[in-house]
Amino acid sequence: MKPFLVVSALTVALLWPGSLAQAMVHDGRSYAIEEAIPKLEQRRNPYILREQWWFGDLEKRGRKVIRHQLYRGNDYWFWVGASEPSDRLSVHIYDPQGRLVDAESYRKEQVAAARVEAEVTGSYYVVIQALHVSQSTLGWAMLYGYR
Amino acid sequence: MSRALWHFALSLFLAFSLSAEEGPPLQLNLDELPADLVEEVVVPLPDEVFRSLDKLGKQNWHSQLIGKRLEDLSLVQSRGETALLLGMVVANGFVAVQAKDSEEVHLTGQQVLRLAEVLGVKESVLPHCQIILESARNEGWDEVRRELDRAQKSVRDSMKELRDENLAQLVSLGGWIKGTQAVAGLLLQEYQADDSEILNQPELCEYLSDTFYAMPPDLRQGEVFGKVEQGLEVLQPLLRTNADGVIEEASLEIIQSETTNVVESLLKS
Repeated sequence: MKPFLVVSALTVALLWPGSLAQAMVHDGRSYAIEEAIPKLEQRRNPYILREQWWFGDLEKRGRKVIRHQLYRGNDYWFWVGASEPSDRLSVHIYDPQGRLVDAESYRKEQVAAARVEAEVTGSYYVVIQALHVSQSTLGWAMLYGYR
Repeated sequence: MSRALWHFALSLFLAFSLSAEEGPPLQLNLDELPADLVEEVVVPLPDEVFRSLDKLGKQNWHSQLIGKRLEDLSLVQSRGETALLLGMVVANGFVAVQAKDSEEVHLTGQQVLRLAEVLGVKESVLPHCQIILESARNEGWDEVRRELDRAQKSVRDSMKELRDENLAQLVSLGGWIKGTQAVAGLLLQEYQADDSEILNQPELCEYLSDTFYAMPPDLRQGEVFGKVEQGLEVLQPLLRTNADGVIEEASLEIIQSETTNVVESLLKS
């Protein structure tokens, strides 16, 4: 684990009691949660972080699709992180008809994020894609917040 | 072409090629999505649907609480029933947060601890329950909500560590049933067709049903699981909006009745 990450994981653990073990075992999650913190701590109407998170491996240009029940009127941010700082990935949200519905999305180094304001209730598709894989596979972790 | 112009043209070409390559497709072809590509179906927290409902102005949350009957929960049920009950009690805790009912949150915290002890995962939820009890006294609703989520996750993680993945699934199923009952109950208090769409969850219901039937038959034996089987069968076609994008009032009544049957049988067993 990189020294920077040790510090950030400890910071995250202090901010989010009970998450230390998880933060230490998956670097991708640590990067993702670091990216999420400003949205979780914003003064007005902060997002609520779901404790459960998802992870896996992707090969070069590989994709994973996670089906996710979203509710009308709710606003969601999805954050994904790659375990290796030099790896790159993307995340985008599609509605139950398969239409791209990102209200916002961006990539920043080893993390990516997408926001959606659910206009209908139903099963959405969160698509995670590896864009640059420095080793044989890319380890990813995904978490989300809602409000 | 001058050298500068050539460089300009090349950089324009590269910029457009890169953006074209990296831009996400605007449409997913759902019919051709390979099955192995689809990793998981995320079962939402009850809190997520409750928030959505809250925005519609449905706020008579007290009417959906289990109440004093929480004190009389039986601890002599099978492990499967206890896991289902635990999920239901946690979901009731989320309802209690919506209702801002300290006493109900307190009861919920106590019962989560008791049920977790029966399932052998008390240690994992103890710190969360302590915070829930303390926050209930201080009416720290955000903390209670966060710790309910953490308690449920800790229980599920501990069960997975103990290779009790099926019990972890039953916790989720119990939470979903109680959440669906509460939402259907609130929607029925003042039925408005537009709002009924919030219970449109056919894929989620199918996933929970598939997961349930994949469990060993001896784990889902008994009256309670008979009600669950019946409920899932009845609910599947009903938790789906019609051509007008609504769930009819009559369907909502059946949804509420079926989910109530399961909740009641769990409380009685």
